Amino acid sequence: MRAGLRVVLAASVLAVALLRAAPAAAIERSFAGSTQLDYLFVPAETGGPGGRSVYDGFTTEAALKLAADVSDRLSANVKVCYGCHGFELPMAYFDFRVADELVFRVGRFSPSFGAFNIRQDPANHVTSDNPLPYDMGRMLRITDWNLGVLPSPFPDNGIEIGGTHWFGERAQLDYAAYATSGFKAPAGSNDLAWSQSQTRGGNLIDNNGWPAGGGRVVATFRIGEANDITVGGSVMYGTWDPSNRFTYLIGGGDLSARIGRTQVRLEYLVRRQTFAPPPGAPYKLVVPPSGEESFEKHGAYLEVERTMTETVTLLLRADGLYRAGNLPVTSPLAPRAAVFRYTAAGTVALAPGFRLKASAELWAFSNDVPVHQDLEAAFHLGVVGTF
Amino acid sequence: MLLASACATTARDGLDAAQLPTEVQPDYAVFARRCSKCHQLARPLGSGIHDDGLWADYVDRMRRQPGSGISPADTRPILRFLHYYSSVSLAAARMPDGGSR
Repeated sequence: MRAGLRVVLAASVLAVALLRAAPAAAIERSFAGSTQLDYLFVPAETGGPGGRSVYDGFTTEAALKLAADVSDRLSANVKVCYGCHGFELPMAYFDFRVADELVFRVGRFSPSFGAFNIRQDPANHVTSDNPLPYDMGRMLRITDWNLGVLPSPFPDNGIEIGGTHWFGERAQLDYAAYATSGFKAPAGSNDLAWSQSQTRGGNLIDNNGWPAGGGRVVATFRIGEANDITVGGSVMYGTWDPSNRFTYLIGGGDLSARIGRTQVRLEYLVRRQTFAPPPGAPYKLVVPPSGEESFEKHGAYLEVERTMTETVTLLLRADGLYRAGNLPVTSPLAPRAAVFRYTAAGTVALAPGFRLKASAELWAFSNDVPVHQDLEAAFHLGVVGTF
Repeated sequence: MLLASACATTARDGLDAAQLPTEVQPDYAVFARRCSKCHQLARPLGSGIHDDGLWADYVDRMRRQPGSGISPADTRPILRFLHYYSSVSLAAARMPDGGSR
């Protein structure tokens, strides 16, 4: 909590500094915010072999963002969020724009990876939760799986160079390359410790001094006036342990199409990570003589969203995770484990900028796929407001 | 249940294009198409911005988002619509009854 208060204080100081940095006429500022209250009902949360492991009941996610255009070339963004782990600072950065094709971003931000990141705010997607590859705490059996492939948002400290270019009126090409602190975990871990990348981790500094790096390329093609298709590829690589010995490599591909009032989105992510089981620690598979192990975590989602009227939007989604690799014997997961989820969701505008959200989910968990399968159901009901 | 609720409300995320002046409708169509890819239309419509300069910065920021699908040429009709929308909503807000009549 103390760390959270520090973040809010720092963000407040930065916001005040931005507001006072120049005469009112010289800086264009805009505020935006959103709040989602969600109730997750899991009628028969057995918790599987690992015990009860779900953040059900009421949760609130709130965000307040200030964007300031200091000059034609320099803009600043500060965003403070409140969610399941208290206060967080997902944005505190400057953009210095040389041209549309060359923008330098410095500070704290989620580096460009994947297509979902840009819609991560709960006000910008139909469901109350993220797709499983990007799950940030709303999945069932959360601790068994240690969240998704790349829990979103994933703010980090660093620099990103990016830009966009239009080729006529039909094709847009975007790129981004970045260096950030990278994800972290203590020595001896067998997976990333996501909390160490968050404010609740107690600090926002690197644990090994070596930056992680990555990039993204996106191409958008306009087909007629009401249709477009976007294809993207992303990669991220870094070391996660204090001694820079073990690595993670995350790759992703995404495809989205808008056909009139219908949007189709498909995204695939995979993370390959190396680690070393502590000597003598019992693991499910035989540890190689080198002492170095690895696992892969795959995730994908396919969703179809249809704006039925100006008031109602419906969505169907299928998503899943698959993990393959060695584990401590205490883990409830088998060396090959999978989870699939099928979602039907919708939103209804109750007032401009204020919507009701509802979704029903069917979960299927498998250990030693496809031998055994557990089914569970979950239901979300929430409201989300924006300004 | 969702559809039933929808029938019971007149709330919209966007505007009823048919109620707009004829000359504004093509600009609104571009705004509605381009600005609904990543978020609901209620976000810009409810932003409370009434200044053309702020809108220009706002739309430019959105245009530069990766995969935005907003071309430089799109910004002209979008800004024309936002200017119209700001003017009308500001005038309504200044009326004694808030423009409810």
